[in-house]
Amino acid sequence: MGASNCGHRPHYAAWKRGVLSMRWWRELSFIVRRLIHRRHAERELDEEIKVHLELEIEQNVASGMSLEEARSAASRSFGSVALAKEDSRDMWGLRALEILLQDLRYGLRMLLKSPGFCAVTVVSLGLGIGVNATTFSLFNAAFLKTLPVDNPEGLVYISRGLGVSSYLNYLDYCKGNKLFSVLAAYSSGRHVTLTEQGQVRFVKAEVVSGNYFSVLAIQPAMGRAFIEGEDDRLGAEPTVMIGHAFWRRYFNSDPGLVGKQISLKENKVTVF
Amino acid sequence: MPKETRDGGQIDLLQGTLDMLILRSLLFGSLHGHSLAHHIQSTSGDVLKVDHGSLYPALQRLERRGWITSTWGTSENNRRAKYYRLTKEGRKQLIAESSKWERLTAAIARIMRPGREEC
Repeated sequence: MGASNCGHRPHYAAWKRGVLSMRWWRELSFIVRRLIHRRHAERELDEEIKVHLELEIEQNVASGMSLEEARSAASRSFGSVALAKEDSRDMWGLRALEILLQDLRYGLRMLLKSPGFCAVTVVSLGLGIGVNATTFSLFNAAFLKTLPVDNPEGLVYISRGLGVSSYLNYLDYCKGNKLFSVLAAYSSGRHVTLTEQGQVRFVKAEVVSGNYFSVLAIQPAMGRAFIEGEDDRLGAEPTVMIGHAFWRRYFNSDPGLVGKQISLKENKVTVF
Repeated sequence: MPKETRDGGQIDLLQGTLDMLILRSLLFGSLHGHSLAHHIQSTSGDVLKVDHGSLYPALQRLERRGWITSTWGTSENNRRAKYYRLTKEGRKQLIAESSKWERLTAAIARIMRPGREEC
């Protein structure tokens, strides 16, 4: 353990110094490029050195040496090919990555050697992070993120527990209401069929009371919201409000969609 | 390490000077590795002994620092060769290095030959 540690520390330090000093952004991109195209870079280097030696041999032959002499003179003037390649590869920073991997492997081995300590560490870290995340998400929900409606702290959700409220129930609530300034209703989880350009899709929809948008003070980005006493009277033309994502996905962000008719049909599904 | 007899009393390069010599050699145009090696050797009057192989790590290092760039081209006898060219940053670096070099050699000269201060 001691030996392997001492063995690679100096490289690591050298790597750190090299990267942190010079304009390291450019260097990093160089390293990443070499890393991604490692094979390619190696091949280029091989070819470069091969061409160098060939040119040198040719030049030597031209100056009167025999081919054999020219070869040995070329390799003498070049020095060690293997060393040149290895040193060049070191410049690509791949060594740094190899050392990082070594470090990781070493760390894992050390952890596996003392599983008890490892377990305690993992559990305490996990608990710490978990508690923090929970606290923050609670804080976020309670204080940071408010509902995107007018006066969210005055909004109250009423339901009959697990029971179902009908539209007639809602009308009764409205009639007997002395507690709240106004009531609005919605019913979610309906699946409807959208038929658009021959394509049939199942989408989710909500049915809402005519005053829904005015109570929540939500303004549509285009067109108008539902009007109470207009869109919700008996025999009124069915109207629909669609969301932005839906508009983009199914209508290709058609700016002329407002006022057009689309085909929506509530599904009648029998479950066996 | 003294390997074999060096012909004509060649001198090994001082450490750290190879980068500067490469930058200087590329000042007037792009060169490939082989011509670069011969340029350095012949310009020094065959005094400097440069292992041609040691150029390649140096070229990679200079490219990594952004001081030179490389492109593949065709060499004089129709071979595909990698040509190295000085970048703007490399030019700046060369100026910095050569002024540093001049100060260094002047300082060393003053120590080695204390009598001649006039230059």
